Amino acid sequence: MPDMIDITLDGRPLKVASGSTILDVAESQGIRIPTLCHDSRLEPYASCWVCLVQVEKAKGFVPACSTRVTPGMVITSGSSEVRGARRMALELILSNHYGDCKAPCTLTCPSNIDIQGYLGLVANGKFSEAVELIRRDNPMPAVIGRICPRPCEGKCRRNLVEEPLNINGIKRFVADLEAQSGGMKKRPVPAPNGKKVAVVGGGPAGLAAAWYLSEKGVKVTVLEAMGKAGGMLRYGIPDYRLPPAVLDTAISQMLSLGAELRTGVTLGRDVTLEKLRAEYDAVVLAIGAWKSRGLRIPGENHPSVLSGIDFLRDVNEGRPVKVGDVVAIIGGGNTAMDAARCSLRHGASTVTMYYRRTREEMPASDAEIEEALEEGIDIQYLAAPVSIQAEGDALKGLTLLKMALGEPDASGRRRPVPVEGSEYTVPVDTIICAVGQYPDTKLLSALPGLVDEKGNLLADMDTGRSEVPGVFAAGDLLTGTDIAIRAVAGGKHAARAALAYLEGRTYSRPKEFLSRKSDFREPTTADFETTPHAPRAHPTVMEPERRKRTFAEIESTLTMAAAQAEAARCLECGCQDVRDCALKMHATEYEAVATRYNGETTVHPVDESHPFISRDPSKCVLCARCVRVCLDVQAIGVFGYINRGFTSVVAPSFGVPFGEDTSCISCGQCVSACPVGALTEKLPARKNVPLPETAVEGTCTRCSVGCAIEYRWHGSLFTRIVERNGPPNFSKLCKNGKFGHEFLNDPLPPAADLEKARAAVSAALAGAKRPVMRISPYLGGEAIDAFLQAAAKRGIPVRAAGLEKVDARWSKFLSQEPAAAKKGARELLVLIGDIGGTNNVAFTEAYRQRRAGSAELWVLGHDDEVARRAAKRVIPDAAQGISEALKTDAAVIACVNPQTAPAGVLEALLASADKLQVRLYWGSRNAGYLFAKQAAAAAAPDLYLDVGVEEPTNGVRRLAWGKKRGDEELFIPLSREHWILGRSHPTGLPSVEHGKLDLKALQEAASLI
Amino acid sequence: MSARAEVAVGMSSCGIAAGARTVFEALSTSVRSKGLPWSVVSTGCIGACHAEPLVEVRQPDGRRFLYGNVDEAKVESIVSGHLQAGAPVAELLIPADYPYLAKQRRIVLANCGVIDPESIDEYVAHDGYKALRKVLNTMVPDQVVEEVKKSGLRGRGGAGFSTGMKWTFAKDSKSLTGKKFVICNADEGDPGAFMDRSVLEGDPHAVLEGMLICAYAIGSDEGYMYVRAEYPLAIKRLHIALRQMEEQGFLGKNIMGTPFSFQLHIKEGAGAFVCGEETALMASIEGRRGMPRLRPPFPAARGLWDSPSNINNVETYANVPSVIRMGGAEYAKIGTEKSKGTKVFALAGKIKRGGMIEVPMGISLREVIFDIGGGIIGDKQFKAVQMGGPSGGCVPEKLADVLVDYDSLTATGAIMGSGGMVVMDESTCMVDVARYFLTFIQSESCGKCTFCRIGTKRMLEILTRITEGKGEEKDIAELEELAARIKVSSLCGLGQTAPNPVLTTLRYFRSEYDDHIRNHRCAARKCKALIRYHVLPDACTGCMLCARVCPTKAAHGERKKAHVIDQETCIQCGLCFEACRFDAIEIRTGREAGLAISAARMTPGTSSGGSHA
Repeated sequence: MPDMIDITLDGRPLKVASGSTILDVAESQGIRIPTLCHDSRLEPYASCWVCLVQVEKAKGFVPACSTRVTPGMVITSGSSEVRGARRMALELILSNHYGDCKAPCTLTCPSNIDIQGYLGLVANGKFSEAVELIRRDNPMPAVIGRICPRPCEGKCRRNLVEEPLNINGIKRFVADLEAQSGGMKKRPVPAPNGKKVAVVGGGPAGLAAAWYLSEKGVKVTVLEAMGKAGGMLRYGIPDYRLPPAVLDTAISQMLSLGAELRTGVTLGRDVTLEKLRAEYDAVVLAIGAWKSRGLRIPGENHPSVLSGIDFLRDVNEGRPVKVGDVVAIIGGGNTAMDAARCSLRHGASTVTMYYRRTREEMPASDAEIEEALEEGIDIQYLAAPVSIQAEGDALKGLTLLKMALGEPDASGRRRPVPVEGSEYTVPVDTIICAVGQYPDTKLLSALPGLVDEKGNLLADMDTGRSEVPGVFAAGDLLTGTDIAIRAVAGGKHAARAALAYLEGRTYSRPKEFLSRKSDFREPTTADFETTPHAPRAHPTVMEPERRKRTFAEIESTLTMAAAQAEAARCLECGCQDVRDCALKMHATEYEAVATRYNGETTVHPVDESHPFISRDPSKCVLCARCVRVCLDVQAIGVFGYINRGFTSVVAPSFGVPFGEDTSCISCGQCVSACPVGALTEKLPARKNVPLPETAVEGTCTRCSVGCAIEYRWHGSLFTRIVERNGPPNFSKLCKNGKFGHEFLNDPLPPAADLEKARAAVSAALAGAKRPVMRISPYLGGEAIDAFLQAAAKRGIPVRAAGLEKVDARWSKFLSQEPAAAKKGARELLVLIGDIGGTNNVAFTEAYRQRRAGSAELWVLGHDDEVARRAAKRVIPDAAQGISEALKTDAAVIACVNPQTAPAGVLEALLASADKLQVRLYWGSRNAGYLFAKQAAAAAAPDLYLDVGVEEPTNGVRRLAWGKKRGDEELFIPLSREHWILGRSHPTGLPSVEHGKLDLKALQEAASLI
Repeated sequence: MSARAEVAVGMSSCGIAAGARTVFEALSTSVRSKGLPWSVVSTGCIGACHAEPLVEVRQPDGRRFLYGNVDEAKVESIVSGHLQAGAPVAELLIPADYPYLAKQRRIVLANCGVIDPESIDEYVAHDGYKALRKVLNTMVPDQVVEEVKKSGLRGRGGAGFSTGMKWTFAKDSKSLTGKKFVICNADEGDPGAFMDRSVLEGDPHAVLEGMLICAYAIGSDEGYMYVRAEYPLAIKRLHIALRQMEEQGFLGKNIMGTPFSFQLHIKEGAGAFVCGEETALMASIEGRRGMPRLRPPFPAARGLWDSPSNINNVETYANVPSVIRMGGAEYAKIGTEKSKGTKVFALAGKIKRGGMIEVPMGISLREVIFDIGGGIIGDKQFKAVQMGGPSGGCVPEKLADVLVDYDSLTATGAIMGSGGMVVMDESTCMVDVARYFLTFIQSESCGKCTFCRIGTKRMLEILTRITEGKGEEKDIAELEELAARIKVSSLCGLGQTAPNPVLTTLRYFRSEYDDHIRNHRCAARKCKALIRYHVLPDACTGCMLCARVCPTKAAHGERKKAHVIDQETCIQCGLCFEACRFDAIEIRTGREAGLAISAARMTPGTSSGGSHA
């Protein structure tokens, strides 16, 4: 029991254990002190200074992680001075932390879809996970996947290599694949939370708001003025770009969580805002921008001068439209473009677009401009209409003025200025004018405070929250005409704002610190010189001659192979550690500004030479946790500091590539120690990708130490293993534990027909004289026991697979009671053979005990540099070492792996079995248990019943229960969970997921015997 | 005392660098060839480095004559005139009342330049190992520590902690390993400092004797001398000293027949400045990278190899034998109330008489610079003196009457430091000086602490910007903010003092910073980006010398006609200025140099790091 002393922390008088650090004390009081360099596995170090606190009478700040409390100490951990200094520490670190938290594509996307995430999933063949990931931020992937002008692709770093990724094409692919394979995964309708929200407008913003509100159990009513929902998607976008069926599916999906759609309900006519406010708990306005701007030139009121949006609406509604032979389109946006292409499809022979700036300023997307040109549409730039001449019902001419580009205007675009005397007139039959749209805010003016006297909506652009409580806005109404994904994002944020309002909170978009390379040095083509070129995947597009006469969809979906290959082109710009990064977390909390101390930034190449670990020294914060964990926990010391001052770096000795450092045993300790993304695991998948993960606690199955671990998954994609801080490993792992679980991404075999299998097993057993069951010691205890029982019932002898060569006499030590410990004597752990190689965590735990002073450590029968560094004595002759150990006055504990023990060890241990304690370590978790259950098997078996075993049979017949089909005559799949979960016998640790194991299926599979 | 007829040549690194070896050989050859009864011997540095090589003629009658700036030619006249004819060569003599030496009080340096540092016998002859004998035979450890406490001796490495207190902690500290260590810090790394080197080269035994006394006092039997490998002569003489000590029973088992045993190792440091910090120094001895760690635990509790350790610097240990011989009380009579004894300084920079001096505490800086140092070279205006190396600060002319003691110097913002004293005159740009020292600190930071590693870099970048005429008004505030935080958020003294040169120059020479920023003017005409070279047409004779030396052909013109300097191609190397014999080249700065100054300098906004997701 440590002495208790009195201290004061942030004004609170406390009694705390002497010897604890300020950080320990603060943690126990629930006061969060940020730190980067502190690691509970390691001695305090104090390098990052992010944990600094004030201590009365101390000369300066002190690091909380390594300052131990003293009686009467008065500590201040949360003053503005302290917070300011911590923020400076973070900002200094950030000023030399060259990396992107998130990829530019995601940051560019108006709805911040996790693009890198879904590209990675597609590359890894996880298509349904990909579409679900998209749906988090975009519930209409098939629609957006067709019509998005793709601002993300403009920022794709692949532009610096050759061409950007076809991001939207991949989105469309996964969405269409889902549609072909049964549609959106059915979701349970969320339990109602008793709240009702009216959404006015059934376009992308309104539908998105409905989706995100219904997800949380809100009863949503969508009021749509038109005959069908979809808004501009339906009435503004022609079918050849977005087939109505695709839209219909998307709408029904977005309403599938319980939202009700009422069409033909117009605000102001059928329902008033006041009434909605009275009947509903909140209102989301998403009425779009349906009013066309006029040209304000003489002659524009002629019946053959059409408004672009009205024209498109007629086309999309299937009403008869009539355009003349020669059509002039005024404007350069997407509406103008759609109007032009629809005119062509409705019989015009000459379609000319007139735009008053140049192609560079033209808002329509490049792809569309290209397609329009291919279809024969002429685009006249720098032409502004001045008047329209008509003769009765017929238009005669359109007079235009030539323009030149002048100085940039407020929007940053160069302002067109008329060229004097450049007027000219062209013949024309129909004019379609698409120079802009605006929302009809007159509908909203009935509610005081919602719009100002000029008709502008009074609402916050980030959240859609209006000045009227409980009324929110989204989509074009809020932003002015913009692209669909921005409307979806608006719906998402308005829904969140409304939800917050319903709970009495105020929503603001989460402010998250983001490190950006572009703050310091924008990547250039030079950074990608060594990146192999790979051409972009293009979908097939209908021939211009064919498509210009049809409204059928003109672009196809990428094939699976093309989409996967395309996704694999992703350069993985976003940081692998973005979800775990301590620097990002602290920077967010302290509102740090990365560019506050802008100056020289050191940029190093990323070191990918290691098979399991990626090393990006540009992100290193020099906390030295990797240096220390490697030396102090593993006794190896791969890393060290190189250089001095600002140029200091942490690197493998002599700066060799990480993969060439022969001392590294790939235990992954450095990765788990690294607080940032400087050291990250290469995921056991084809493509590295940071994803939201679910953690499943379990026990490592790779050896008998039984380390506490977490399996991390994204859907069905196994992403990585993370250590847990508990016995027996206390956060330590070895190469097998950290990186040896790739098999979890192997595809699962299809289920077997149990009745057929039962007959086959019976037949095989009936025909066999000397059947043997071989069970894998890698399996969980439940599976092993089930099959042991089945074997016992049938009297079939059992063998522990892989342990055939282990001397049976080792089993004496399986049940051996610990030798009477010498009272008061220190423990002496003798590791026999290469325990470090086969059961590394047992080795490092012994080393930790030695360092902590709780035990002494010898290594016997094995000699290398690490052994010499970690152990007090290294004796190559194991038998001699045992006898020397027994001569000491310590309580001797022999740790030995029977599978790798040197010759003579067994005899030596048997000879002195009463004088020491023996702990057996095995190459797989249940080996010891299974070894003890073995029966003497008949020689020359004629039938193998292999449970989880994939070993050769040398021609003997085999029936197999397992996770992977081989050449066996009968294969019954076992759930993957039986390998990764379940009981571990040697540690006695119950499976933390015991309740989730499918024991019924297991019993069924075993009962076939 | 030596009844022999001796000619001693100062053979420390400074003397050798000035040509003492040649002088030594010439003297030996001449004396030998003439068959004169004089022996030529080597000695350490007497301190008057500005007059090296130094030769002292020690007559059998005890009279001594010091010759300065001796070269091969002068050797002949000394040999023939003085040694042979018995008449001192008056015109080469350094007078006995030479002010450089007169105002000094030599305790630490008493033997330097007197004895042969490679001879233990000479050290013993000059009261050497008397103090050790005294403590071993007549004192218990407590008494030794008490005596050191009484002397008021404070650490000479810079921080000025009480030596007696430090020894008490180490003595009272319980060792879990059964060992205690005595360590001497001879990792002198300040630019412009050479006190430790000179002491080790001139009187190594004094330091070693001090270490032995310390070992006896704290109960240690093993020690380390951590000396930088850049001091080969000091290392060589230390090895000689250790060998001789062993031979004579001053080292090893049962020293002087007493139960006290001690062994000593020499550890050569690889030249990292930070290894002068005690915890980094110990890490370095242990074979690790020299990086400081948090204290507590202090070395006295847990030091080298987890054992209680006492670390003092060279000069501190060198004082110890005198303290014991004189008695603490007597020693305490020297100096001021809180700063006892003497202090050794390395006087360097724009000073007429540079070298190593030892003065009593309490002397004024002005006396040191003007009386001992003889004032400024070329009688230029004295501007400031940098005390304590890069960790110190500058004391401006107006504070030159400050007394040399720990507390008075600290009050100026500078520190006593280990004794580096760099004198600066009006041609020194204080912004540039701050930048220079910060450059040194930045490149010597061990890289561990965030504030020291990156903060000093950002400060340096700001200073560099200012010297390049790219400074902004907000830069000063940013420098001050960074400096304030770096001082209180670093593990070791290097980081904690790193901003000092900037802070003291800001404190005393703020106008120079403002001048650089606002007027693009460097009054000292040092900052290249802020100066322009111009030919004065009236003074130019058209000799073409400037054109000939100009590396970029910026200076040009026709023979016998006034030359011009093309500002486009001029790189401000200053070669033309040096070369011109007619003072026809002028250095202009600021407005007169035509350097554009924008009225309102925009402060670029910092973009928000936050983002919406």
